Amino acid sequence: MAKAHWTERLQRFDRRWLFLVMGLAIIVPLIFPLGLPIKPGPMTKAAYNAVEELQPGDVALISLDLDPASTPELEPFYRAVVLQLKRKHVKIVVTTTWYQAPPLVERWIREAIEQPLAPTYPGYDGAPDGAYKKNVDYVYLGFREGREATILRMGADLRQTFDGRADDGTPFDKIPMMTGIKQLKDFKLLVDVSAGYPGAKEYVQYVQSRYGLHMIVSTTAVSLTDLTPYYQTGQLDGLVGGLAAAAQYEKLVGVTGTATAGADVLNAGHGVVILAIVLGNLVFFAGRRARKRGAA
Amino acid sequence: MKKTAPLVLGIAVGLYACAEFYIPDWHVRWLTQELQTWGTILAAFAYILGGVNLIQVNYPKIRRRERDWQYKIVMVVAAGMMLAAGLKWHKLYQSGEAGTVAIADDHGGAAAAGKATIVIDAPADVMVKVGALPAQPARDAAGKPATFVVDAGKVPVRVYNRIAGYRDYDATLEVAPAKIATVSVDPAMLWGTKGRVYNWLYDHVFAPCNATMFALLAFFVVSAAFRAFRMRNVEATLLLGAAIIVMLAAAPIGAWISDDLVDLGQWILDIPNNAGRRAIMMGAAIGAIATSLRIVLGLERSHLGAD
Amino acid sequence: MKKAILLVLLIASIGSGAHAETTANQWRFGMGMPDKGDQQDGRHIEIHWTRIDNTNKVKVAVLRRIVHEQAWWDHRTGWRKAEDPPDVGYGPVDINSQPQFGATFVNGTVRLQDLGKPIQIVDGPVQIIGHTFAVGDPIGVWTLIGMVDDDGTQQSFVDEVPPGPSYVYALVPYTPGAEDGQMVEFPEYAIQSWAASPDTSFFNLDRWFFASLVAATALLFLGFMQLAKTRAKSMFIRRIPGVDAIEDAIGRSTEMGRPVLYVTGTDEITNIQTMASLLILGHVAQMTAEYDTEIKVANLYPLTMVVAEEIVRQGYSNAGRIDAHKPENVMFITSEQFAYAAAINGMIMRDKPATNIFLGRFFAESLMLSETGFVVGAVQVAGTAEFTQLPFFIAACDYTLIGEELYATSAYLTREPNLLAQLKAGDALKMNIMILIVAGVIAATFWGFDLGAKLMPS
Repeated sequence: MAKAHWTERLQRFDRRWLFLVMGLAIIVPLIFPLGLPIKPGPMTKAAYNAVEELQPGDVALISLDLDPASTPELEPFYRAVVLQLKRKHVKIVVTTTWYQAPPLVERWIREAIEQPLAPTYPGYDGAPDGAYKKNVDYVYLGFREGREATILRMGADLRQTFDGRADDGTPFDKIPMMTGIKQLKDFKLLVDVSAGYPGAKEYVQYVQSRYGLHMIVSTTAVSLTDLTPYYQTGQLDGLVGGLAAAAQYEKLVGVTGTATAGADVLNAGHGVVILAIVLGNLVFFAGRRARKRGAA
Repeated sequence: MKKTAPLVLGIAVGLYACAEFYIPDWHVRWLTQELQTWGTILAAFAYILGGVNLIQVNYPKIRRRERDWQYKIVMVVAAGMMLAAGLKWHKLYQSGEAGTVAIADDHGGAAAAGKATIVIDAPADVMVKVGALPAQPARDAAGKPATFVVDAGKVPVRVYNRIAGYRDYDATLEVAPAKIATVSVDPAMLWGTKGRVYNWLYDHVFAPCNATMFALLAFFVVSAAFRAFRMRNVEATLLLGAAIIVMLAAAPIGAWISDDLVDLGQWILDIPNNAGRRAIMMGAAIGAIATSLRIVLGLERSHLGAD
Repeated sequence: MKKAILLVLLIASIGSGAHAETTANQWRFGMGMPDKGDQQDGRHIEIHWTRIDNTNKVKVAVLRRIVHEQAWWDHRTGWRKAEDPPDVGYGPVDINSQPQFGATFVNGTVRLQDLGKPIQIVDGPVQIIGHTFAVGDPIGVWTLIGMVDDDGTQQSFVDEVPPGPSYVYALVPYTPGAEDGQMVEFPEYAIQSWAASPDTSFFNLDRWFFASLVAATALLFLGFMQLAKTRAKSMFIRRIPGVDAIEDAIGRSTEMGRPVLYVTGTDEITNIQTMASLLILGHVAQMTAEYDTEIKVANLYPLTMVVAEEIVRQGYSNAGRIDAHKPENVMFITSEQFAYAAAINGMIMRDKPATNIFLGRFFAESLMLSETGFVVGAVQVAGTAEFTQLPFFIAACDYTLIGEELYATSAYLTREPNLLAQLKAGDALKMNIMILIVAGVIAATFWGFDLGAKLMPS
């Protein structure tokens, strides 16, 4: 039997080879990093500067609107921004609008807020951060059902939304750092780590414009196009989109975390997608040529 | 009647929902919030129906040993387990304080004047934090309970498990000079959404599965890219070119190649992409208004079901 | 300010010496309903003021006290009687150069005729030296609600209060200390307002444009409905290939003996995209009943499942095949997004449906579902208004309904003139919006006029 023409063989190309290449493109750079330079973009810098403008004793709200699926993309930013907030001695209030999030958020609080973060970054030589104490340096509000309705209620009356208590039942009146915090606008900055709906878009649409909140957002790469217009209009003070921007944020904070390690994965992964497009077109043209030859 | 009553109710609530957006009075706001709460309660009750449906769909398949019936068992058991883990069983048998405090005189005189001793009697895998001192395990390598000599007065004591899902002891003790306060704590396991089992299932089953499914997207994307991005005509070629530029610009390598590439990628996202996006969103918003009006005015009735 | 209760010039009528200048201690003061529409809710009071003599560089502490004109419930002491007299009077308060909020002020009984007279002390004077005040601090009967920079121009302050009682405000100029919230001295007279309660409006004027948009849609809708009665045949509606393909795909399913899979999206029934999907489901169910093809409906939320089940039953009933309806084919799977995607992928791989219809709101699972459907060779029709997921559907599905097409489909499938009028009304509205956009761009480009902000004030 005559050997098939290469164009025909190319058409029978099994896509599982591409999956294997994609798998390797993700794993290999994690083991052997290329270490390409990371250059912070303007949206990331703006987010960093918004945090830098905070003063010791200011209170910032972190809304962790995500689930475990998005942690690889969003956790690096969370850890970097918490380190930045803690080393500036900014007090933190944490909440979530995702029902799947609380166990994850509670773990993140234990690991990043209640423990010093600086020692977890090898080679970090910036200002150290301390261990924050519950209901003294940070407050965890927990989760309330209601999606955008909850966000709207938080904008109008934070105390009513959470029945005037932190997640562990401590009344706000017994938490000194909550004095003067009645609604979202009383926070000096709102940091939304948002994986989708409900999240940054709902915060902007329902409360940011209405109350003139200062807000920065970290989001997944796929949601970036959805949120960029809000940065352009000035509704967001900064926007950190996807792992690439999280790596930029780590650079600005002065740490080398998982986003920096993941930057090479992104390079390789995007390379494989481009390779897939090129290969797909080769198959396409090969098929067209074969059809033309067949017709002739 | 079976259709008329829901229709009338739907029209009334629909018109109210339309009108309330324009009436700022707080009574209206309050009523809207009440209706939203009712909606949440209704949705919660629907979960009971969902559970029933789950059994209705899967039980016959298990009974008839239909294809992949074993997986149906896994699903039903997993749903049952998560439900059981989410209930606060500890409320049935746990009560009172998380720990007990016994105060005795310090006859040994080990504590200097004005000082008191706090002894923590707790299992070895538990952490202890007393006052401003750093946290430490409740027992040392030799199994000796953690002992702290502190200034007499009010001293905050926290005894907690390293892993989530256990009851913490968190109290402020008032100890007089030359006294020994022995705090006996055995952090009990909790149930419910803050309990050990729920947290374990979340961390070791839900989180990895959830992350794996999302990660699969990388393979689906590469498969779709291989198949769909073809240079069939000029428009498709333009789309392909734009996609490659945006992809390169979004990866860190983009800035390494050229800053202009990043700017071009951002320009594509900001200008042509946003223009199309806004047009689609505006069209969709008009469609949404018209569809809502159709339902509110009772012109569309198919969602009301059978008579 | 939409409706100032009264604009007055409060002039200090007492005191002399250092405060003898004609403009010293004179304020222009007003209070009423705020300008912003959503604050005209009976819970907000706006106060505004101008200090006529602004030579002293001060901040102004804004204080509020409640006046109970009716019997009221106090959570500590139970029912209490209305205050007597409810009129607390208004005017200037002499707290010049004092190191403290005086007992008279703290007690709130500061009518002109009461000044200097002995009164019952319920709270002692509040020292200002060495104390850092914060918004929310109680000062006797007063509550500190704001500390405003006063540069001598008109200042305004919006206060949110529980509805019901009346409120009195005091404006206390003070010299600020080095730290935020520190008061060093009171260099001028303070003033106290009359009692007022928050007012409410019946229409939020800020939202007139939205209301007119909805009204225009409704009017156009009714207009085209009338037109449809007389000239239905002349109403051109362009073909939507994706919708036309649904019937062909169901026919193909029938020929192949494989089911149709219908996914209602990844959002609750409260989302209008889910509603649009459910409306289309009725037509699809009727078609599958007529073709005698099995339809499986996957739902993320139980409430959607309940409604979908009723709709499918109605579809089968309309086709006269109610006996063929299998309620267990309308499924609630799970409310967890990726578990839902995994379950549907499993169904696609096992049942190998010949037609997959994905209509509604979708998120990251869109590509997972549609690529899996492609692998089993299903004809796939998707539709969503979720912009970020459209590219994935377009890449992986045979037909994609983009944005408004999703909403138009139900009307398109009925072919009822009344519902087709909706599409015409939408088109007419879109034309008007296009004209508005062009006008807005011209106004902003040539005259720097922000038309959008005028029509839709935030």
